[in-house]
Amino acid sequence: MHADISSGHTAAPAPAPLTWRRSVSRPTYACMPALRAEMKRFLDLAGLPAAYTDKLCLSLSEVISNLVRHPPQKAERMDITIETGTGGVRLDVADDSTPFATFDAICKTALARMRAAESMAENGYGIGCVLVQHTRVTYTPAAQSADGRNHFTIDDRKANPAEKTETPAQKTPKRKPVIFLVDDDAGDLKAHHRMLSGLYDVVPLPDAASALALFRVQRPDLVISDLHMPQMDGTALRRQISTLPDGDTVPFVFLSASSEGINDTGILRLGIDDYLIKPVSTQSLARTAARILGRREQLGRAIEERFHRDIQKYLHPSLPAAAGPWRVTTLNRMADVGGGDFTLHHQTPDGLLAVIADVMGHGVQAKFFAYAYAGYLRSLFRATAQTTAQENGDANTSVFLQRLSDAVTDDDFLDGTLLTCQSFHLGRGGDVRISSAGHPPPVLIQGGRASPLPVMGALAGMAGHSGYDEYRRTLMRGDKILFATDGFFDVFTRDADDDATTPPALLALLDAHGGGTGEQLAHRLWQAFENNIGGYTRAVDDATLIIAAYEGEPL
Amino acid sequence: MNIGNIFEIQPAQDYTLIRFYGFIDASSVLQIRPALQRQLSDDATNLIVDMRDVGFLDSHGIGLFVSLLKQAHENKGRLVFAAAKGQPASVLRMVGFNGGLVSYCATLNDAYALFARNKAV
Repeated sequence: MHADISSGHTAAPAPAPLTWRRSVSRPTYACMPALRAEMKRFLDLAGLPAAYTDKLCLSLSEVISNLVRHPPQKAERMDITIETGTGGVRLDVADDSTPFATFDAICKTALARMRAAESMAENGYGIGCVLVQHTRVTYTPAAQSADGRNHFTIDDRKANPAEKTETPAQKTPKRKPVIFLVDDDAGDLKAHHRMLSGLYDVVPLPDAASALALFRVQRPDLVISDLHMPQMDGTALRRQISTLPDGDTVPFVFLSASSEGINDTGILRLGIDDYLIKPVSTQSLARTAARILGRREQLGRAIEERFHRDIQKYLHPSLPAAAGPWRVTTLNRMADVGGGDFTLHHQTPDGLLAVIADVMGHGVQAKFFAYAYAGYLRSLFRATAQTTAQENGDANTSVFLQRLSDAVTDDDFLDGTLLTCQSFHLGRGGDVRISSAGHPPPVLIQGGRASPLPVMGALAGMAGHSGYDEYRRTLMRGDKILFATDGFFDVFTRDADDDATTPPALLALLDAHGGGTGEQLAHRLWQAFENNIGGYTRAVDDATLIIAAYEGEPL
Repeated sequence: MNIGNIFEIQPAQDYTLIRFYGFIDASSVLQIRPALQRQLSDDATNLIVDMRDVGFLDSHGIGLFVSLLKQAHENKGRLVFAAAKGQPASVLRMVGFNGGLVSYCATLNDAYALFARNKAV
């Protein structure tokens, strides 16, 4: 689970190459002041500026607070490691408590709270404080880490060019594939175990019943089983495993003392991936395992990529290029592995009602939720757009957000998925109306000057049934408005932008290039975005940019 | 009154001054919160949070301040932070407690003057 979603970050300057390690048994709140003091001394020694040291002390404090407070099973041991060097600083906190299952969702909630003053809560700032201060914050639960412990990592090292296309999945320490080796012959079991154990995580099992029992709690990547065993033989084991959830997707190899009967129709129908005749050589056993596991990984990747492509095609943000006196340019980059931006629009008698949304999270799961959300919102949006037009005589941006928020609050599925959303209406006479649910503020470009508009609002669902404001403004001919998602704003965010709602670097670009057409401006900004993203490790999020330019009423 | 070395409450005519000391983190907030609830009058309206002796502030401290902010707003009053420096000042800035929704004054005298001015108006 990764949280490369921070809106402001501090890349540490290059300090001396040093390492600091501390182990704490059963951490409590009481250990924090001493740890902070010790860490501060170390960072001072490494030559880091006081402002950065303060930030890391705060982050360590927040991470430990979370570990002490939230897991049902508390940590028995916590290990803190800080490495400093020419590339920057890396902090790792490893622990053995119950892992955080919904880390991405927690991060997004915390960030939304940090951004939306009106949704202030007494708790929930903690992780937000960590996220907004650092370049990369990742959480790897025990099940996905190489050492079987949870790792909370803050990485403020400069991006390594070799890492720039690395995906979160690739950053997770690579684990060895798990093979269940089942054989009632103790000698064969020991020999085959020895042949594979350097390459794989091999679990030797003396009979089919043990394999079946273990399969119910741990899913291997491959089962290699003797065909002929007392009580339950290899074919019965295969059949039993196939009845378990996902059991028929795990590849299976039979070992047999003879080829007799191996080609029986019954055995072939079991869907085994290969069989080997004993005695087997190390080379043939290892090669068979490698081939089957490689093929499985390849298939999984292909399915994932196809799924991703299909979803991208469906979600791809686009708005009509022209809506009455408005010219609209929409540019988008879909992340390789995560994010979930999409747009919706509806032509009203007076103009264009549109929504730009960003489903929070990373990886294929986030894409799936974006897909589900987009489908749901499309229906809701159409119904709401028509209803509000009938009720109010025109489109109302806040009504849509309110109904969306109510729907999210009342629905268990949607309530577990977070999105930021902005609804806007581009009307006649330069009339523009905007409502926001936790989305970055739009920016007005007027007379060559760019300024963020005071439109923010609580995150959809967080405000429950409390209502959203509608911001209204009349634009002059030549004025433009920029709408964008986090993924776009993030790449313009610099170290010292902690207080800015819109990155100053982006405002400077808008000031410099705001004079042309909306389309020209959009393409200039996009070029800068592409340039900035070059060495940027946070390109795991979708990015969407919309420039709406008011060109005046026809004479 | 002074609660150990953690905080001190000084009621005045136009405001109540709460002076915090040391670390305001998960550990100290566990002690501060109940003590503050006991010691701070329910009808305290205008609050000045004196930060000059605070050496460290984390999200638990922010949570505590949100409680104070709510109390001040419920009583139709205001909350003003004053004289924070270093790490606590950075955290207040980071969460937006440096103007706008929550007032911030660089010195205590500025905070006193703010309430005196409001009273005069």
